Amino acid sequence: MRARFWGSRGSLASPGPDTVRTGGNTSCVEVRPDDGSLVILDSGTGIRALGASLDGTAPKRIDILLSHLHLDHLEGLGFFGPLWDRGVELHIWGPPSPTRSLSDRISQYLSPPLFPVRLAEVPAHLELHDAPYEPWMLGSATIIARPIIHRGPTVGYRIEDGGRSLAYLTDHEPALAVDLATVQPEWVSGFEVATGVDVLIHDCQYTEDEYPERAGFGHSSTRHVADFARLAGARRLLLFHHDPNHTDDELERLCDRVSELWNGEVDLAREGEEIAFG
Amino acid sequence: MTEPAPPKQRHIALILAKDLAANLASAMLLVDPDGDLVFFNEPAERILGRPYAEAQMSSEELAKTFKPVDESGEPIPLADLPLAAAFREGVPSHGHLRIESMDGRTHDLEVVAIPLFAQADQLVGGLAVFWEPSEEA
Repeated sequence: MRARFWGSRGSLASPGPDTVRTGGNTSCVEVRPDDGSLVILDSGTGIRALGASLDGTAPKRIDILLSHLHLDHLEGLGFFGPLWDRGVELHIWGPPSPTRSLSDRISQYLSPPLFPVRLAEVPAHLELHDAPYEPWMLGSATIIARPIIHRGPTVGYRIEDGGRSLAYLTDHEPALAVDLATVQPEWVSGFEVATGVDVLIHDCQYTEDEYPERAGFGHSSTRHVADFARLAGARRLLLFHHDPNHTDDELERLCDRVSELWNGEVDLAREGEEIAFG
Repeated sequence: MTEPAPPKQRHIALILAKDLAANLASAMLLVDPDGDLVFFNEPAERILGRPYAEAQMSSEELAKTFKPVDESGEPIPLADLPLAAAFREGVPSHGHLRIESMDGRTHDLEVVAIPLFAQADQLVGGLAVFWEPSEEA
């Protein structure tokens, strides 16, 4: 399994000289299971460049796993090249809602006046699926989706392939309901997705000083992500969903702080970087 | 035959309900999708007579322990208790009952039980809020 970040910023795209090392595009991760199939985690603004990179080499089937439908995870979809290719079969998976279909919810954005074309009019063959509770296969990879604590229906994904595992919990506030330093793991949101994982991609939007003013917004602080990685027994932690107001220098300090709090391998998710599993 | 493995993680609806219960002044207990007790809060401890840490039990044990009876003193079968009715019907249920707490006292209770359905209509547990009606009411 290989993977690459195409966008690691949270909330709002933030290009500019202060974010050039980590990148300004919003959430998008390319995952390539061993059989060469293409699985994409979220369709933030980073998915535009991912689509362009596939020029002429897009597989017939592409699967996009949406963590949730906030705009920073969806707004790139209309600019994903394969969406406009009649030969592509595009499967979009997302969190179930008790009241509205995934198609209805995505169409709220991909329709006038917010977008010039309706979802039903795009050339690619689209199939939309509620992420099931039972594990399922995409190519050679096994996918597990579980609801996690954020605002509105949101899932975390675990991808296992060829003896490697990756967990993606991009917008996640496990500390909202519990004290992560003392709680039993069975009462921690996201634990089942992340337990024993090789690579944990996790929300780290706030410093410890910033968090109290933003508790309940659905995101984690440096201390929360360190505690969560320890509980989950993750081998490697990649900090994700960078706050749009955090510069590269601030993010480096934030990463250093997590390193102080958790005795494991930790780094920032940087746009364009391949994810090392070994 | 081996015991079924405990869940790796409770559903987030139960996790959030437990947080709500822990911060409420009303007595509240939580059960898992099998009806087994997974938590009750401090106000519930005052009625039930023991801290949750000393009182973990299955739904059958729950009914045996608290010996619920109706207003005429007739035992209420497990299936007729508000939480069982809420699970069976898939909607909130209300009942009056008398219990014997674990410290030997009796309590007349009003109970509202609510099944917890998560997205995609998945039953992930249930909660019961209960209180002792005042004499004047």
